[in-house]
Amino acid sequence: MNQLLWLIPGAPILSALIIVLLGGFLRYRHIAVLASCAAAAAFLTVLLAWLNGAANAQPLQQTVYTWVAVGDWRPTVGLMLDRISLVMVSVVSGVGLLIHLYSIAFMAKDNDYRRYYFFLNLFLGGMLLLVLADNLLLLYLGWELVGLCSFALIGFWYRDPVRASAGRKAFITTRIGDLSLALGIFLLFSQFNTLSLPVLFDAISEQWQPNSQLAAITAFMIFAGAVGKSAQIPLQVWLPDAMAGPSPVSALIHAATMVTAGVYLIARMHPLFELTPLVQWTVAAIGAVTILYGASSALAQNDLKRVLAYSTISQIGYMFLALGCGAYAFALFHLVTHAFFKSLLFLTAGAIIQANNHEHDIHRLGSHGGHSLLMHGCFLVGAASLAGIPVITAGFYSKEAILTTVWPASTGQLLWVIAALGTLVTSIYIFRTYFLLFQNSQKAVSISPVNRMMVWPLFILALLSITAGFVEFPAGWPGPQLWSTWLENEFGTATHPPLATVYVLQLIASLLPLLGAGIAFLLVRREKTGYRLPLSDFLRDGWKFDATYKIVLVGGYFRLAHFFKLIESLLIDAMLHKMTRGYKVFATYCRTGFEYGVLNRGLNGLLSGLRFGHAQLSTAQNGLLNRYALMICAGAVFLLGYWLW
Amino acid sequence: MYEIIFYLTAAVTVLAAGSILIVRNPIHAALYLVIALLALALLFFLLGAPLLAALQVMIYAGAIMVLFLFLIMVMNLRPTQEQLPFLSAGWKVPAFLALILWLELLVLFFGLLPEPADETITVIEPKVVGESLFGPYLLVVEAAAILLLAALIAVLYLSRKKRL
Amino acid sequence: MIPLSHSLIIAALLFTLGLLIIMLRRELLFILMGLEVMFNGAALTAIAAGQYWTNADGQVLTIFLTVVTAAELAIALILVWLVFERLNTTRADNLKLLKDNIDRGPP
Repeated sequence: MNQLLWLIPGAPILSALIIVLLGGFLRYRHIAVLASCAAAAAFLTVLLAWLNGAANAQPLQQTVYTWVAVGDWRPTVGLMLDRISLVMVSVVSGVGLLIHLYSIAFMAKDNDYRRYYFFLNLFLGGMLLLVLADNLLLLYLGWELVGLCSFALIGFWYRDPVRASAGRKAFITTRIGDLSLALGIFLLFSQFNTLSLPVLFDAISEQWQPNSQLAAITAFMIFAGAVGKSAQIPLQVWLPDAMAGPSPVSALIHAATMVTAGVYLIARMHPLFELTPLVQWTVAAIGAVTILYGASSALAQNDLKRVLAYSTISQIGYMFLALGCGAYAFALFHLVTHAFFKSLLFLTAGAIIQANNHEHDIHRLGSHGGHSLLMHGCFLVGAASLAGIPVITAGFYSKEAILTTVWPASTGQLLWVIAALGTLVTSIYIFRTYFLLFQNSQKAVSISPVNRMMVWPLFILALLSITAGFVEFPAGWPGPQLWSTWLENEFGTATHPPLATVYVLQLIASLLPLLGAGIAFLLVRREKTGYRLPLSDFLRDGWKFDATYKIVLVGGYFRLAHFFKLIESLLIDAMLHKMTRGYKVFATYCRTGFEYGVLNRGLNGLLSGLRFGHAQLSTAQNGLLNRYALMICAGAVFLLGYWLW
Repeated sequence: MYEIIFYLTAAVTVLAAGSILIVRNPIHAALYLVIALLALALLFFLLGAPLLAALQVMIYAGAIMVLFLFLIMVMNLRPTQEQLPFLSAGWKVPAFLALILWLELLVLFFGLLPEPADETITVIEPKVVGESLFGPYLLVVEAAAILLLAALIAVLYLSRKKRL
Repeated sequence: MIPLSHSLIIAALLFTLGLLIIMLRRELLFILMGLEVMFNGAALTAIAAGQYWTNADGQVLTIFLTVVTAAELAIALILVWLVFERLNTTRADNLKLLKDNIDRGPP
């Protein structure tokens, strides 16, 4: 099995190469099937890994290739499949496969399918490489690869300037985080002279004291990288605009996989973060603020996909909250369930939007649009799971697990209140969207039947959105707790408050989603009569982050540029004028005095000298064999004489 | 006795080679060359290399000289009309240079090696040469074979009837 | 026993004579003969040195020298024949196609 690991990221990358090199000879059907087969190959390899003991305590490892070997530093393409990676790899390849299948029908009408599948496959390969890497260099390679693919797929319809600029925005914003991550990696390398993860963790726990400054700086750098990729405050502005890409892309990259790379990174680097409680608290705090930010902004959106985008930001906030409180296992748990229900929501939204002539506005979709029963059901399942409707949905279990472990952390009560408030708002905004979309949909006729290829992924995801939670029942419940015991070796056990407190907290947290659904129902009825939420403009613009950045960063930059332009016109231009005039005078002098007087005569002399030399030398080039022999002889005499003497 | 034969042969060699320099008729020159080569073969024998002496007779005096004579016959060369080198003005510089070169070589050789103490002549048997040739120098033998093949192909190419 | 230096003197003399032939004679065939004489001077050196050290290497070297000479001469003679056939001359003076003609300027 160790020898097959390379297939997991290798199959999609190979398929991407085939598509980009030979795609011109293939038709749509072949390319789509090839890409899906590559995703399926990756997924099957993962299944094979499950069967062959990847779930054991010993991680699987394979060194595919050594880039360079310089002294004792040998960066390798080394893959490592331990339990953390196994979770990620399963989710990424599974959801990736479903979305590839969905895309076959979704992209059938698009002319640029070749580019689409190339980047989709490349993305899948890059993401799998990221989560399988056993050293930070390879992880960074995957990190940048998914960033590139994200950029290319957001701006997939690049002829629309708005979409193209959305792609650029995503790229540039995440670049800030990537730069910070790179600096963190450099710092680790300069300290330990290795980038291999197992070696690095041993070195960190041996050499760095808890709370040491260097550890804090490094952890913060890596955290900033995760913030950029996972769209947390303050680098979250790119994600809502990223919805410009095709819906399957939004589902795969901007909901299920790439944006959770930050969560994976922090979970992977947790020995480093556990050294610095301050940075850990920062992670939790940023997560908590982002929960509120995303949920409240989603409340006022009118664009269906933007609702889901803000909801993604907010849900990843939950994961960061869990990471900050040390509940790494539950962060990954929420990552998995979120991947299922959020892809379900995105794919359903994509199908609805496509069926209604690319109408994004939820009010108009609700009043004019037609929706099949299937769409209705799938969206309801996804919404319920997102809101965390008690007992029957997967979202409930993962969110509950996070909330329970937040309480005993430092300033945990405050964080808990924020997170619980977030749960309430989450329920309100998603059910507001649901009611607006579907409340009077029964009178509308379905416009175009949904392709069968699109239905199956939806079914599977819906099923998983319901059932995935049953692997881990909340603390104190009579049910299996497979997840946290399985990941115990990697992360240790999370702490719970006393059981009595737990039950009270759980009761409150379970009632909140239901309460939220009720509020949403009332809200929608009032909204239909023209009622607007207070602060709705502020919320719709995402707390005016974009405008602020525009004024502060872009405006400031422009002001700086203006200032420099002023300096240029005043100082440099004047200097240049003076210099130009002086140079002109000098040039005139050179021309009259120097060129005619000295240069011409000198050059003529040189020329005639060269001619004379040429004439002399060319007598030697006389074509006479004997003369040549004579010269060789003279040369031999000279050399031998020189040597003897 | 031995020394007398050696120096006599050496003198014949040098004189024959010198004669090539001054004769007019190509046939004569070729014959002088044969004499020089045969005398050289005797020198080899006297120095204790019987195999090389035999080879010298067979290859040089036999095969190569035949080629020369054959070519002279085919081209139907007459005695040259050129001025003898000793009469022309251009011979002094080359002769001077050659003299200097010879002197330099002498200086080089004399300062080089001490004379061995024993006064006997060691004959190196053909067997030893053959063992050396097909032992450590086997690869060079192969290379020589390839060189001969290349020469063969080149000659065939150059002498083909039909020009491209 | 002949001293090594005496053999070497004769070899050097042969070599120089061959060189002189090349430098002074104008017929292509004579030039080739001079080349042969030079080769044989070198061969004598090798054999004399080999005997001096009582080593077969000198003779081996001479054998290879013979091989090279044979190859060289075969090609050289056919080239002489071609020259005779094409340009109808065997004199080296007349083969001046490589002469740099300064009046004509660079090609």
